[in-house]
Amino acid sequence: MPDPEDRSSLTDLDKRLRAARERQEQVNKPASSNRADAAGGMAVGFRISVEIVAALMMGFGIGYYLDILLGTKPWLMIIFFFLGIGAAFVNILRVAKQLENKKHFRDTREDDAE
Amino acid sequence: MASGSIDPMHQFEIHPIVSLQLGSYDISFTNSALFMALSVTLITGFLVLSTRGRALVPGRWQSMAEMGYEMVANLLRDNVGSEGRKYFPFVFSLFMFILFGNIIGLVPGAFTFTSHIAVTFAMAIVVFLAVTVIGFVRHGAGFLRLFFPHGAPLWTAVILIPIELVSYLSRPISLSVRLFANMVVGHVLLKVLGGFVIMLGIFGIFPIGVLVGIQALELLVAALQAYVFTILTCIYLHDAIHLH
Repeated sequence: MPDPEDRSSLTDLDKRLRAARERQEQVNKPASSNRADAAGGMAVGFRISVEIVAALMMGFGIGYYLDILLGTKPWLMIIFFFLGIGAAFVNILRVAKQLENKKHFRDTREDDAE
Repeated sequence: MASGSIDPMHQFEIHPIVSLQLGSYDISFTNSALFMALSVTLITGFLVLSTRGRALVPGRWQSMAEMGYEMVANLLRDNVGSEGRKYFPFVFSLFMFILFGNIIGLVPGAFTFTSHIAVTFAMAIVVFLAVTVIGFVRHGAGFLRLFFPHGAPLWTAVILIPIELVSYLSRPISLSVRLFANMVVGHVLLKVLGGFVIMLGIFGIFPIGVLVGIQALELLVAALQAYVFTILTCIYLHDAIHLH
């Protein structure tokens, strides 16, 4: 059986390390440039909006060309347009999930490091 | 310069430097091709020269090259896993090409080849086709499971499969439009503000201040968009290898 004394000192060290890191973060936070944050936020917004536009374009495009190919003039276009809307939502959810995962991953990895 | 002659779209014009014709195709060596060649030359020069010393303690240049290498390697490891190692050369080349293209484009007078949808879409479609082929090679027909979320009731397949299919097919569009639109917007903004500087004469000093800020922001966007393109490539690779 491992020495309980040993483990408690380790968790204590862990706690102190975490507290120190949090303090450091508090100190560093205002210094981190908000321009980089703005660009990051812009990139996220852009990513999501482009995702919507791309899905709608793709749905509309598929429907339009299938209509021309099959001679079913407006119907496939309408159907695929709505599928495109669905795909846009799927894409947004996926992006949101990725961003969330990335954040989570980064946090846990920072905890693991050192 | 008269204010009427400031044309923010002029910078995106492609004109041939050496006219070449292959059959009915125009394969001229254009200014776009020139800057692509320039960026490839610069990348090669940068990587070869900076790592020539192979110092254990890297100097400035070597550590820059190592930073780029490690960044892409970490991206691949975090997003794809150890199977992603194989694709490192491709992803790294893609990253460096886009990064250098974006940054060279910020030099006044230079041409930005990533501001053309033809270029970005060509890269995106290569990624898309490669990912699709890798998926089918690794999983065979099982790759089609990607289009049906695990555990959903079977009757929803009628709606979900077309939606997932459209979503999958929209990837190359979103990948290419994002990079292209970011570059075009940034460069048009710079040109328009530059036009203000000329039009306002002595008061142009104010827009110049803004212009400096925007230029810095554009440098950030240039690096960020190269990063985003790379990370999305990694995520698509992950989907192809692990099927969610």
